[in-house]
Amino acid sequence: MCNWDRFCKILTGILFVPCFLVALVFEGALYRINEQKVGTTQAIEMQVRGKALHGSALSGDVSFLKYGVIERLQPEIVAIGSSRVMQFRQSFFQDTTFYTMGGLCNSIEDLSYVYRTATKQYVPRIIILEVSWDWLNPNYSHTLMEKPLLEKNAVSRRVYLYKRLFDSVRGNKKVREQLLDPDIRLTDEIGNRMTIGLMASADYRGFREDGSFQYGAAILHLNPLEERLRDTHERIQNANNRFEEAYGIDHNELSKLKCLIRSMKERGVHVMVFLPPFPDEIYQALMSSEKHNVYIKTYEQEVNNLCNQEKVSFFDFSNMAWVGSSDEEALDGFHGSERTYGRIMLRFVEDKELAPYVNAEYIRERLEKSDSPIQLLWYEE
Amino acid sequence: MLFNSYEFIFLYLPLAFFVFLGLANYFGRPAAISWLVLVSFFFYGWWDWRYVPLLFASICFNYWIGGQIRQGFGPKYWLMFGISVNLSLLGYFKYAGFFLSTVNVLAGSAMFDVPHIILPLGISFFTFTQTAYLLNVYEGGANLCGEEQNGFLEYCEFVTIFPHLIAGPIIDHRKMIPQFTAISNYVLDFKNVSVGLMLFSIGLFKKVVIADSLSPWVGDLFYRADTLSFFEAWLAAIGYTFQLYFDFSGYSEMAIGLGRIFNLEFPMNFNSPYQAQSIVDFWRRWHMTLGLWVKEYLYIPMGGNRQGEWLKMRNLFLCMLLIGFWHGAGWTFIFWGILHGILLVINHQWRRLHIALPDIVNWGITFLCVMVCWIFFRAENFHDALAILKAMVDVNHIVLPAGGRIENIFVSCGVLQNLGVEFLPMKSVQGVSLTKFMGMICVLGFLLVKMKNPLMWNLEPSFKWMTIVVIMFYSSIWFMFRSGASEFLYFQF
Repeated sequence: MCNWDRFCKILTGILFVPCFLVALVFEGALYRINEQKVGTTQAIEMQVRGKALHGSALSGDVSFLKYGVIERLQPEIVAIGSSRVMQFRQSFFQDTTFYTMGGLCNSIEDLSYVYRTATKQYVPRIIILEVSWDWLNPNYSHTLMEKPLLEKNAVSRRVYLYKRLFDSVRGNKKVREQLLDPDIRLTDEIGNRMTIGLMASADYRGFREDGSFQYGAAILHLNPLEERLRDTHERIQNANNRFEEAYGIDHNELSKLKCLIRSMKERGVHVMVFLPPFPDEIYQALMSSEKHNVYIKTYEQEVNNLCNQEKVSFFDFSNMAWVGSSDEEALDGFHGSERTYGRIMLRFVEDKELAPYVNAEYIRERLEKSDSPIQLLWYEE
Repeated sequence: MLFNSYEFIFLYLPLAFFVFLGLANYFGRPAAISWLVLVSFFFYGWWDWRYVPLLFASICFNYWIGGQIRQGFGPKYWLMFGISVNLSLLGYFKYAGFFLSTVNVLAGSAMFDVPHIILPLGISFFTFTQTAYLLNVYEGGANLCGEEQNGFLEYCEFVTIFPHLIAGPIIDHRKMIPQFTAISNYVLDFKNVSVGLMLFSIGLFKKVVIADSLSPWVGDLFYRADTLSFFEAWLAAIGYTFQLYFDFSGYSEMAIGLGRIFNLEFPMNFNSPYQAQSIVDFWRRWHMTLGLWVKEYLYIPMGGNRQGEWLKMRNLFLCMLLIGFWHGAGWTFIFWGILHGILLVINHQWRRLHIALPDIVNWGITFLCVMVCWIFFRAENFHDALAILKAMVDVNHIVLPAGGRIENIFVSCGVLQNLGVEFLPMKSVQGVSLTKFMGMICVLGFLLVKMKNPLMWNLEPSFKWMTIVVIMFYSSIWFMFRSGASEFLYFQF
């Protein structure tokens, strides 16, 4: 073909130049759909310093963001749990700082991981701990939540996003359309925040600076109740997808919870445990189902017993009606809304440690004034 | 940092290389060596920076001991001191937990708390490399001419240079230092860069496309060792045999290729080991630099083959035991070493009988023995290893994959059912179907038996090689993109 000099130049060019060009194309595409800041320290900075709504359409993993924010903010009160603690807001509290690590847990082991990782640098004063109903179910697969962005370095995080983008372009028409759409909204009209990620730009869905989640689509257009609850009813009926049939709890998981509570107490943390809410209709369906009623009673009782043994506050909000929340205030069959969680906060005043920090007067005022069935606070608030 | 990662290929390597060339060109050799040492420490620290001081302390200590031995005041004591400290370091990090848990098991109670010690990456390799250096200095072999050849910077480069730091090949001070000091090695050599890139791409392909594609099935089969059928047990054994080879030889070729890019000749580590005609032959072809190390610094000092047949056999057996123990602190590794020791002894005695067997028989027996040994090497414990071996001879439990043409043919004849053969639907593992896995095994088996080692290939600047290398490189990049980077199997040792 040629001599080694020429061969070397051509080979190096063929091996490396196209890869850099492809990376450039991916970067351009990420920029185009407003995903370029996902998985970067800039995103953390934006949430810490100002208002930013972080909603990536490419990656559901917000561990990198949340651990980064909590490390910087070091809030006094922290909520840990699944998507069912993503409705607590900083405005529910007064004279203190709050952050919710919601959305990072799928199991008790995830709770421990989040607690250990989030408290490496400091120890919060109060932890609000959610014990989701499925986590003690012996027939539910207690898999750890994947954290692809957290466990990788900056280059790998980027490549991960390229990969997600590649898959999305192939399989998601909306992403393809967005790539071709010249107008991308960089401000969230609900919260008046800068948007990071396509989901935040397109649907105003994403994580706010206090770790809570803004359900943009639901806020702007709430589906009828029947539609919102349908999926959960089906899961109850089919006994699948977190509603697996069970007649007792997994004591192994309960003992993990016990260890976690103890380790928190040993470090001087005031622990509050709560069971998150179902709409009344869903709760009644569970109680009347032979596949589920024994489990739900045992679950409520055993967590209560554990908290009594460990002398930590326990709140059972399994039915949102118990806090005065109607089913209309449910986001779906598995999640209460901001209104429901406002009401839950009013019940938290029973805990003497937390009581001084609960902004009860403000929450009551908002419950009265807000005309949205699910939303308590708007951007001006 | 992994060789098979984007940050290594597209950032670290180009930066390390071009700055190295620039420094060599404008500031001279010491600046270029300093840069290589710096980036090599960075490469090591990428895994866990807390162990960088350990590596640096080990280098300083061995260099200092080397100096003391050279000065000639009680060199034997300095040598013994140096080796003892090196072995203690390795012993603490690699074997303390194993030793204490063994004592606990023997005592039948928890006499000691077994510490959870993280094994520093590459400790076995840099300890062996530096121990050999001390022995060479003691014997006078490492006292190279000129001050610069005995300089600290050159020594640092010898131990840390990133292509070999984590998993070898184990390099020899006497052969490497002259390369570090030769001025001609600090200029851009297009041939070396090309050959280096070609070898790197071939190694990358072997690791990412071949070994990593076998990995899910092998992992799954060994995970459920207890429940394997006859057919699956054989697949597990053959699959791992191939996976380990492609993984480790791929790594070695990448390391050798990277060395070539920097004008360095690293020793060959594999020479088509699965074409070996005997166990003795196998060990001349598999992990050759470790074999040479053990031969030079253990087998020969113990007397080698100079003290009669019985002592020769003893020495061989002990060397293999050490190789087993070097690979990992576990009884399965030790047993793997013992098995190879026994096989070597049998092989040597068989040779004395002067019975010639056909090549195919020699090859078959050797391959089978090596494969059986790998089962102990890979299995989590003896129970799993024995379960796989048992399944491999359990002809009463043959299960073949259902739904294919083979099933249709045999079911219609009713032949296999009469022999007790079952057909069951078999799953895919991480997207790799059983058919694909079996197909890969067959193709790889053919290639391993027929093809020469890539280092023996006549690489030339031709369109053919350009095409082959580009295809290999881009298919590896694509596989990395789809599945992410995975660690090399030999990193754990």
